[in-house]
Amino acid sequence: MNRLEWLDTATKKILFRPDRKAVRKELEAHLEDLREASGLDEETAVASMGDPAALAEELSRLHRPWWGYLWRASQIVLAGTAVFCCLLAVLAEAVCQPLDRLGTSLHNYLTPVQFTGALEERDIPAGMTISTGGCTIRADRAVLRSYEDTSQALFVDLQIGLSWRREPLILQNAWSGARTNAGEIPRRVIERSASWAFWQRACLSVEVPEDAEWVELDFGCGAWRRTLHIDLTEEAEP
Amino acid sequence: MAKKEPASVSMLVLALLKGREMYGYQIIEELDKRSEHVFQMKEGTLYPVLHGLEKERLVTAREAVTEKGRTRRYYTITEKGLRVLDEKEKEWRTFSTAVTAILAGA
Repeated sequence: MNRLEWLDTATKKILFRPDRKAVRKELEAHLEDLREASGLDEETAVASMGDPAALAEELSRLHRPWWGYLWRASQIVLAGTAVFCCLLAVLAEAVCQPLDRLGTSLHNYLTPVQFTGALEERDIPAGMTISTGGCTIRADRAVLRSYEDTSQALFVDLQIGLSWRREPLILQNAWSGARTNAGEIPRRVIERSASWAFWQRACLSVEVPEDAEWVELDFGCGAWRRTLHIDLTEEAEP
Repeated sequence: MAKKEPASVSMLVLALLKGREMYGYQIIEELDKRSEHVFQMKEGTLYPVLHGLEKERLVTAREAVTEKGRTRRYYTITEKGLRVLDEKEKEWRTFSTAVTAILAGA
């Protein structure tokens, strides 16, 4: 039996981990003292320390068995809680996604934005996402609308994932700017915004010049800053 | 003879600690030396006794790390330990006197 096996055996019945570590260190120091003083090799020194199993029995009686049982119980509870949280996360993902889609449809149905006067509508490919700690912003849909007076506006439906952060993002504060390749966009509007239990929805519109090739929407909250880039030259597949 | 054997390992350990604080290996060495190799205590005996005495608050322990990085536990006898040692010593002397008297008359 080597030194580590002897120490493991001698202390394995002390259930309370801090006690076990302290006793192990004490016995290890003893073994080292013995080796140093006697000049014995490890195996002989270990053998002269006696039966570790018998020592383990004695020590387990003395070292707070109830603390040991509580310690073990707390480990089991901790492991159980971790498993429960993982299951909850998986379930939340599985349940919240369909709920989220339902929420989007319901939200669009309940609070429609009236677009009047548009001569032409063109769907722009969307689906781009920006994310930061605790918050994800995804452009679900983008539509470029052209009007009679030759102006055009881009409407973007946003889905804001709150993750475990329950308080909604204050869009008025978070949406810090918009620009195109032609320059800053002076006119930008939050058409609608609503937050429900697990999701937040918003529709933004920006006026874009005729020759605009892309639009960038800037968001920021606290220390983070992110930009959502939308390419206007592409057309979404029907 | 229902009387409990007074000479116990714990009494010997307490007696050694009466003089100064010691760590486990030192106690075994000191016991061996002072008893002229009569009492050669094993680790399996010493540590349960030391930890039991600590649990009963007859000794206290402090950890110290040596220059070589070993964590030693130094044991010191408490006031309660001194009182218990005193009682055990008295019991032992009574027992020893009784045995000596019987052996003298044999």
